[in-house]
Amino acid sequence: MTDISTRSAGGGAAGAALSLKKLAPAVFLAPAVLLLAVYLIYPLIDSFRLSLLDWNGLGANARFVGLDNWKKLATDALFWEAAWNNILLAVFSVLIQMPIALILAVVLDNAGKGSRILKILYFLPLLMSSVALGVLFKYFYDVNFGPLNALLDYVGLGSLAQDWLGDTRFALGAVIAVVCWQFIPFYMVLFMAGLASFPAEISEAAKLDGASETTIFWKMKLPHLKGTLRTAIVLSVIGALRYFDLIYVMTGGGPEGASELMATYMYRNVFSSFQLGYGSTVASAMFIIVILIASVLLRFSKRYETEV
Amino acid sequence: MTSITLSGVNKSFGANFPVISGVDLKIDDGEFCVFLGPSGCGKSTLLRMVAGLETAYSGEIRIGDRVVDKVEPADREVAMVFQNYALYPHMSVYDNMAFGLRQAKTPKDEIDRRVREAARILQIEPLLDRMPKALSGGQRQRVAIGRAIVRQPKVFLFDEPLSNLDAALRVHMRSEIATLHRNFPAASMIYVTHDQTEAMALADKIVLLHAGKDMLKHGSIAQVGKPLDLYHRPRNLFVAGFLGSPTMNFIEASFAGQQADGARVALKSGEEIVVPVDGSTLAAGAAVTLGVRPEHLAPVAASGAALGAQTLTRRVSAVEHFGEYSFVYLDGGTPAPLIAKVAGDGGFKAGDSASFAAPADCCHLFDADGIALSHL
Repeated sequence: MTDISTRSAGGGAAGAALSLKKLAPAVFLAPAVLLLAVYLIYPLIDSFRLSLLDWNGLGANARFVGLDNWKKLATDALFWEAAWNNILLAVFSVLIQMPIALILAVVLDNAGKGSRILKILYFLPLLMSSVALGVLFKYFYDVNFGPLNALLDYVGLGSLAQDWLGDTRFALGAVIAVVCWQFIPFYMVLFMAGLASFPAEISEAAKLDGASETTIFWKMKLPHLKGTLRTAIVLSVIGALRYFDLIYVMTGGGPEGASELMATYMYRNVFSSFQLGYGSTVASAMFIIVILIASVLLRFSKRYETEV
Repeated sequence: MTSITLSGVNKSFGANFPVISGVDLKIDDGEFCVFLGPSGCGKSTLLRMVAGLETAYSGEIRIGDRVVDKVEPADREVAMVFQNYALYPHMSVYDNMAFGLRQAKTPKDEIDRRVREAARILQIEPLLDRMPKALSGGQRQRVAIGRAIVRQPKVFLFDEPLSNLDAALRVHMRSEIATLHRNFPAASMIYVTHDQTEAMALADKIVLLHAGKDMLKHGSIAQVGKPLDLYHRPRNLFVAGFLGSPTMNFIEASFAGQQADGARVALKSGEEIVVPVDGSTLAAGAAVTLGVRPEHLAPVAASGAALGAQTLTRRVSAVEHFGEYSFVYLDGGTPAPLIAKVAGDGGFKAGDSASFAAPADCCHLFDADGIALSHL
């Protein structure tokens, strides 16, 4: 009897240890899962649920309308114009930010210790809040008192002075320029980190082989940076597709929707027009578009993935 | 002419941090010269100055008849093999080897011929289409050597090329580098290592370098010469202690007088040893250091030497057996134990009293400044 009870007690202890072992990962993961569930998964699912309602978001007057909001979205020219603006922002972000960031990174990488102050100066725009930047550049572009037009006047190009943010032809371009100015330092730092990890011996071997600095850059350093470039492009595109704050502060999406983005359009629908249901449809569509474009981008750039 | 001449070469990183001091050195045509020394002695820096990757603070470097101080690395007709191989990671083995020739605008068919010839010599023909990441350490090292060979340089520079390889591969590649030297007799080679075995095995000439305070006091070069000259006739205590494993035994002693067959020294333990050197410059009773290598201490019974003549008797503190030979650790008279290297297991055990002969020809004597007294 004693023997049996001892064995059974031992078996119980082993079982408890086993279940504790299984429980431990769950316990450690729980806080992260809980945060993700509350702040990401639930809002996402709820946003899809809300997209099926006609609701102003204020009372108990929500009405289930099925896919009506989605049908409306499919034919909503304003939404597609906003989506197109997002794509323009993404394309110009990549085309402008990447080369300039790369050039700055290469220059600062070669500049040695003397470039420390420059590195800090170049990084400053990223440290400023988008709202502050927005206010600053709203003044910069001001048609009457803005330094830009004043500068154009000063150098004799007064005929080129424009209502940069009030003209449908220039509003999006003016805002894209600020977005690029804000984010170039971020990609510059990414590229500088990539260049810093380039082995000095390879440069030296190439020098002994007779390669010029230009050849070393194109044939050695640029291929070394391909993984970093891929990451930067993906980040830039995703960021552009989700962009909101600077545009909202500078133009609010105007004039006449010329600088409207999906996010500002969603915001206007929810908080200005009080169409929570339709706004949620825009948000959900935005999520799907971002996921689709990011997936395609990642798939086609897989060969440039950083090797670890 | 592929000789290399360094005259009065100095190098410092910043005003207060000299790394190379007063190097005067001539490396002859086709000579295999090894820069050897402890970490931080500046051997790689010296090599990089020859390559043109570092500039000398002062002095002159010639390759052949040409002063190369202001010549670009690519125009010095040198090729270098790096410690970490430094292969171009985004190029195939073929392109790695062809890169330098393409930069020099060599015709395509000539590039192809040279790359395939080097690949044949190094037995890496099947690897030509592979990328560096798909190669083992030994294969990468061959490719790095191949990249050097195709340029047909006048001088090959090796910067610790074997230090990333495992012990067995290191021995193998060492013999391949020796073969390479035989295959390219016209090219001079400079090889940097901290491994004395590599230096002894490969070198026609060893340049042993000082580090730290010794460098500041005596200059960078401790001794230059053939490997066995440095081994058998070290110029000072540093050289004597650096070459040989285990290191040479050093025993404090005093000069007891000069006689026809050499200087007689009295050890603190009471024994007297005669060393065939000229001690005429020493005053009676002057402090000296006796040096004798572990492999030269012969057990008295085995050597047949008469007890008392050139003999050291000590208590055995420990024995290490390696099958082919044993190290016998001996207590007494020195801060560190004396070590004797004996054949087989030696038949010693800890606690025994053992006597070892120190043959006069194999003994070295250093004055109070650590300078070796010249042999008779």
